[in-house]
Amino acid sequence: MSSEVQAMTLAELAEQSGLPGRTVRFYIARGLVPGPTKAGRGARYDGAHLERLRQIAQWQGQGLSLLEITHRLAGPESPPPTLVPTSWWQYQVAEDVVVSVRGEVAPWRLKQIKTQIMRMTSGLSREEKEDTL
Amino acid sequence: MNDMNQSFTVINPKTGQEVPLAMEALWLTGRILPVGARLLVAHTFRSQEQNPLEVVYAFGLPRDAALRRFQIVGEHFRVRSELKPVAEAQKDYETGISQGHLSTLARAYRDGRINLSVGHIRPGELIRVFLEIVAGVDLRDDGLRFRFPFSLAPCYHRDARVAEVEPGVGEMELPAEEFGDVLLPRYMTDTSTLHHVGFELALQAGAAVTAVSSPSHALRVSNVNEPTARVSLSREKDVPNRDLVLDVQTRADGARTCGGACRDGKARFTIVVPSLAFGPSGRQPKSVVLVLDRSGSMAGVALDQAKRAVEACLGTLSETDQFGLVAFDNEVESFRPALVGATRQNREDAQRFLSQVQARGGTDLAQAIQAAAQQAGPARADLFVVTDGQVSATEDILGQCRSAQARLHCLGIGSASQDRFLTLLARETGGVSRFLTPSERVDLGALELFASAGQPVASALRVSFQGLAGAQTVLAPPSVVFEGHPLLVMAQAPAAGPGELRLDWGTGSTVGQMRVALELAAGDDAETVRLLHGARLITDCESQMAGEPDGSGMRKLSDRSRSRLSTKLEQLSREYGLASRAMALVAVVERAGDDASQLPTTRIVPVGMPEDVTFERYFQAKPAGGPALLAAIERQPIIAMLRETSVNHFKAATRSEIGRQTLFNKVRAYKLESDLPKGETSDDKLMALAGQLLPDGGLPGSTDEERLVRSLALLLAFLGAGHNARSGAFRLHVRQLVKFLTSRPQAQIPNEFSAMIPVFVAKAEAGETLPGDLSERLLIFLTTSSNDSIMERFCQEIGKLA
Repeated sequence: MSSEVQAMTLAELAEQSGLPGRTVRFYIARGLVPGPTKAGRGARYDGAHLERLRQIAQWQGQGLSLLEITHRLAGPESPPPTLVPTSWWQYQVAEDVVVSVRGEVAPWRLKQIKTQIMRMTSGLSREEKEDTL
Repeated sequence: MNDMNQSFTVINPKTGQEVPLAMEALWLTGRILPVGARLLVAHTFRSQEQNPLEVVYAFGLPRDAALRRFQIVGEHFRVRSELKPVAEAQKDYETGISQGHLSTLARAYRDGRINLSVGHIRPGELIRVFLEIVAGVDLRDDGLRFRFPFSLAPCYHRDARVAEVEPGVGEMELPAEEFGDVLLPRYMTDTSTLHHVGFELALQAGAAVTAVSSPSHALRVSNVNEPTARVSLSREKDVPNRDLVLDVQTRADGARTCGGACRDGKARFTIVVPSLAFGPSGRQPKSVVLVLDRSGSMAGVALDQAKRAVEACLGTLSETDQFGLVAFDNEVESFRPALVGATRQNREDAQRFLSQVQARGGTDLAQAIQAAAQQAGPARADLFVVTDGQVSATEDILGQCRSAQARLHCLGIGSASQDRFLTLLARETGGVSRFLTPSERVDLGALELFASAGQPVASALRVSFQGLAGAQTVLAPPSVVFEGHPLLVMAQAPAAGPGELRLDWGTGSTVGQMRVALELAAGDDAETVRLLHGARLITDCESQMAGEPDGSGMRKLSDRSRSRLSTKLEQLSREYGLASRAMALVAVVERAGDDASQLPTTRIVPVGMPEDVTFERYFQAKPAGGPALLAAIERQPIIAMLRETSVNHFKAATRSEIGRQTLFNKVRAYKLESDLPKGETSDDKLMALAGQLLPDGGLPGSTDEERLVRSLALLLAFLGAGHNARSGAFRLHVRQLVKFLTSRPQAQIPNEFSAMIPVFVAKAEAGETLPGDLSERLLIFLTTSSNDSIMERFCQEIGKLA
């Protein structure tokens, strides 16, 4: 899809992004997506809006919540809302590999992560064995 | 409806500022019939902001419920909704919003969740939406339990994204590819700034109402002895942090019929037949698997009581019975890989297994049920599931459980437990369900369910009609009837008239039959009964519909069976005039001066965190180390204790994930235990003793004499507490004790007892009880006495009775 997108109405933006209009309005109200480029009767949206919606969907697919996306969109320069230490857990999956996982994850997310780590651990140890054979 | 006219102002106690509420109040009115309810829910929206608003209110449907229609009322208009296919309704709504019109959409999503969206509410404008809902009720032999969700519990889903957006405010998002564009509310621990809720309901329970009560809300009840009793909130208003639960007790008086001729001339009716009418149940060897939810949301008293209840349930088993035990969160742990005999040794091992069960993690119900069904093997076992049912994607779970080939009985726990889902889960697998609120005892509830569901009063049930030409059931009635759970027959006939319902059941030597005379005429209730039939059919159909076949274009319809279900659902919606996941309700009001140029600000109405659900379980990131951790837990007295023992131990414990979990569980358990009342109640003692019954039905003891004395004392204690062989949560234990006491060879029974035992056994079997203070004294005797001269002391206690 070309990045040269004509100015769109909200309905067209919704259709292009595959999201219902209500969702788009909700994102705008939450400050995740900027308001229309032209206010008033001829309110229009452009490629930047579409790109932002796609970016949000992609991040959501990675398991980010709207709150985390808000922080991410605010950019690295902006200070976190409150200065609190973040903790990371280190899992040594092999002699020479360490995986860091943020301490504050929901239990079910932790389960997903652990499954992957287990897979990685066994994968690495299998390769090790294959190498030595 | 006068309550609706008052205007509310909400002040934030912390800031003293007025809080702008998008939705100010939710008021529940309507009628409750013996077979269901017809409700009208009034939502008051008012914009106090500078911009126009689009407000989304998310709520869950009660059991067997569907939306019928709504009316939207503003200063100069009153408009009714239209029922349209979802894609069309959504398009109407979007077009309306883009043109600045007042648009309203009520749309159903998975798990019975509804989004009511109202858009372009102008600054200062007052809008009311009156939403009509038909809903089922939890039927009992002696009345019914009605439940309406004032709050929405957060539900576990492996791909849910959760965040604590502000301290004490949680947010949950579900993956769109599975759940469509459903929006969930923010969950608030502080309920003081939320919209107000209340209710005023008419009660037409058919048989004379003997009592109306609520474990959830303070009630005002009037006109109890008249055909229509009225029930309302005794306070002016309440907060949305728990479901409304109403218990209606009626005089049990045989079968009740509701309904008659509808406007189209056809007769629609529902017959409720109490289980008592089928006679007593026979005892057959049991194969049971107890499935215990130990997910984090069960933490505390609920899990402790559930564990005790499981022990007490095991106490009703004989050596010929087989059992299994499964505890689950997002992992499943089984007591044994297969069912084991209910021997003393196995039960003691099971108790040890239970004592190690701790609350943690999410709720992976389907996995647990499959594991439990596997344990049972090819034999069709009864599975007893104790859970809060706080799960999403329930249709997937239902599908997996249907294929598990086991009968599920569900005990739902919680102030906003998923009534709708657990009802379906039990019904569709041929079992029964019960629901409890946090103020009720989980252990007694579990025991009650176990006692009634283990023993069917009728099986291989066949339903037919005589006299009413062309009469037939609307949906297949269950083939098994359980003690305490009445049979519900939904039926229709081409025309009203006199007739007869014929029930035949059993095979071989255990056959039975019953005839219920039907006198159908035109009646006010006929139309409601028709709607209730529709709501039930739609709920059943939706329960088979996994995924979200929504019109948003987010998921391509590829699955043929899903599209077949969609078509069926659309037909049902049209036939009964009820919304479903295929058909939504929409209204667009064009007002003078509608301004298309302004984009409304979208707001979601927040709800209160259900009062018994721990917020942290879902939303709060656990402080994982560093200063924050110490600061957070230093307030807990147990930490002081831990410090004294070993600071290093504490540090070590927090170093690993498991250690951290254990520590937090300890901290939480400590807090909850200290919240408990200090003394044990009689029910606690009875529950503990019930768990000690040996497979032969008696209490343990070092000598035969001691066993006999203690068992008789416990029998009397049960009788004194109102439990006998016929009724009461401990009825199975009473039966076991009777079996034990009457099976002793006459020679082994001391003289003092040989006359006494038959007297009390007869009382127990006749359904009689004894004075309550005797129970108290015997419980003290049973829990404190040593074996020294036990007989003499027991006789002294009994002597006081005479």
